[in-house]
Amino acid sequence: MAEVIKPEKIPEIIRAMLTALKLKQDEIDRLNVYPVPDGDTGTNMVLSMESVFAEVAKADGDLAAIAEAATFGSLMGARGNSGVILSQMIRGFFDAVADRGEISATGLIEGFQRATKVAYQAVKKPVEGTMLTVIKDVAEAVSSLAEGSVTVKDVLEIAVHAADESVKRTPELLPVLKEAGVVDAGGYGLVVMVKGAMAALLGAEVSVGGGESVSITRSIEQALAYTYCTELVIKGTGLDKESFEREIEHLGNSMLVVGTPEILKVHIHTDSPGLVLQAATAVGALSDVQVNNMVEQAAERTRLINASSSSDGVGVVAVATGKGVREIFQSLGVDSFVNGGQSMNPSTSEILEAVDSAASQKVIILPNNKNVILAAQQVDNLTKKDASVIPTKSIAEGLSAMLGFHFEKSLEENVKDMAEAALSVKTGEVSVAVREVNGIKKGDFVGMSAGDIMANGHSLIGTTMALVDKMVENGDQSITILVGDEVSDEQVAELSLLLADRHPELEADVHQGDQPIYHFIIGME
Amino acid sequence: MAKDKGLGVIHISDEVIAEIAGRATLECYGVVGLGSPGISGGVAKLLSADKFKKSVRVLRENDGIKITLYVVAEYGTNLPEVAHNLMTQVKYAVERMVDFAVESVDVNIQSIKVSR
Repeated sequence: MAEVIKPEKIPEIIRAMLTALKLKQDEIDRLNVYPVPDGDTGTNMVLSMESVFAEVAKADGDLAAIAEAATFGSLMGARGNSGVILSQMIRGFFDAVADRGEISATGLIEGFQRATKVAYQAVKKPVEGTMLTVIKDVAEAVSSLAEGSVTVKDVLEIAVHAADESVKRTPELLPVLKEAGVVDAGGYGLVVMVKGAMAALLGAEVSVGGGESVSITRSIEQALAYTYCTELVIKGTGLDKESFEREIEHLGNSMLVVGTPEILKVHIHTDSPGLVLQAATAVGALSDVQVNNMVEQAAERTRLINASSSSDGVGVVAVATGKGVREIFQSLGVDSFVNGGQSMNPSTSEILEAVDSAASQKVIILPNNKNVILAAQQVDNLTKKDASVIPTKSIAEGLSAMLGFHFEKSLEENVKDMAEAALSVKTGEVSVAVREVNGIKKGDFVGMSAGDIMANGHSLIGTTMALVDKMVENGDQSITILVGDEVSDEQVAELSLLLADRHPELEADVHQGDQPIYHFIIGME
Repeated sequence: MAKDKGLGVIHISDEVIAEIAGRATLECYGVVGLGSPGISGGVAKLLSADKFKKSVRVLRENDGIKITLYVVAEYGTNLPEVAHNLMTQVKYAVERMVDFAVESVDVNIQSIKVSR
């Protein structure tokens, strides 16, 4: 790991940022709701960065020349708002480092600071909750490192983290994002770019994960041993086909290298396209590089196959986390899941993806959290399918709703039956207080039902029993308990014994839910 | 501007449209101020927000609203692109809020501001 970034490394880094953006281009496009919801932020950012890369790749020599090329490329290639903002950031960044010969940790910090300053000075009334906020938060986070002896890698790590956190906050700052249940598209693009730069610096593959919807039907994806189909052309003199094959063959499969000593065409399936590119740059000049995510392509194929063989029945998409919780949902007839729940709300686009990839043309969505309902309700406007939301506010309500589900009934009948079934259950949740509130100490257990805190205390089981005592009403017959991932077997046994002792009238049904955050999710009816 | 929604007529004045367009203009990236039609070249002042009526001209036509904007842009940005973004954003903001078609948005960049 180098202590500084040498000028000759910069084209590679910009290439990685561009590759990362391309991988997420469609996703960023789908997030785009501000300032004009025309779904082209991802495309604009890619086009803008392509122009930067084209200029930088042509520039040779020192940092000053590269800085000038990057600034010129970003100015000329700027597309859309995100592109113009990006061009200002790039201008500011390279302004700060151009005369340094190479980019040190201090240079990187000053680069982020100047990028922020220049980005902000080009607008009269900056709108917060956009990529401007993200670069500002990044600059602030790395500024704290200025005093210590840090490496370039340290600075970028902090930058990645700060950008990630910042973009998650954008819906809080910009109401139009919150309404649509998305984060800011340009801000997210910036996160993707910083991650791409990080990957290039580490010599790792460009992968920018996070927040994807998970479908149960993953047969094709699982069959793929490697993620990226990487193709490129190397130009040079005296290129040695065999030795280059040996160089990269351990990186993947389906390798194909053809050509002459002047030009080689390379094809390989790999998880490390960055390493392949690196090996290639060592022997010659690259052109026509293509890195395609085959997992995404396969998912798209699966979706198309499913869509063409559409089923007449009704499908269900549930927002749920926790292996056990999902298994129960699945056994009740849920087709696919979206990751999410308390403190990790999925976006409309993630839910949309799950709905579109479901086998049925009619799909019911169970948000299972009050903060997800709004995002779920946007989906019907965006999908070609018939989508309806049962506004379930908890996992227990979602499970209860599934008891009213019948695959062969019509969408309307199901919506009515499931909504009724969802209302028949009372929900309780036991969790840990993350901050001090209403006299409850941080770290104490709290038992909640219908949005109110009903019980609290130091003991998990004590708090849970107190919650159950308050929830029980005359006529209740059964209690379902989903056990969270942090609860021990002993605690479950203790709770079962106490329940049987204190509430013999309730038939207890205890399942391993493995959900995070909630130690216990309780359904009572 | 008037619209009949069945129960009566809704009037939306040109000032309202100018205000909406002006606010959208000031939020547009690359725009650092408003200009004024009477002043040309480098002497455009950076006008404050309550003077939209000088910097935003609204013309009613049969086919829709024609808006003319006089702005100051930031030096170093791609000016055609900034102007294009401005057109799109102003059109979107006005159409969304008053439900009238915007036929055109003409942008006059009267001056550029050079930040240090």
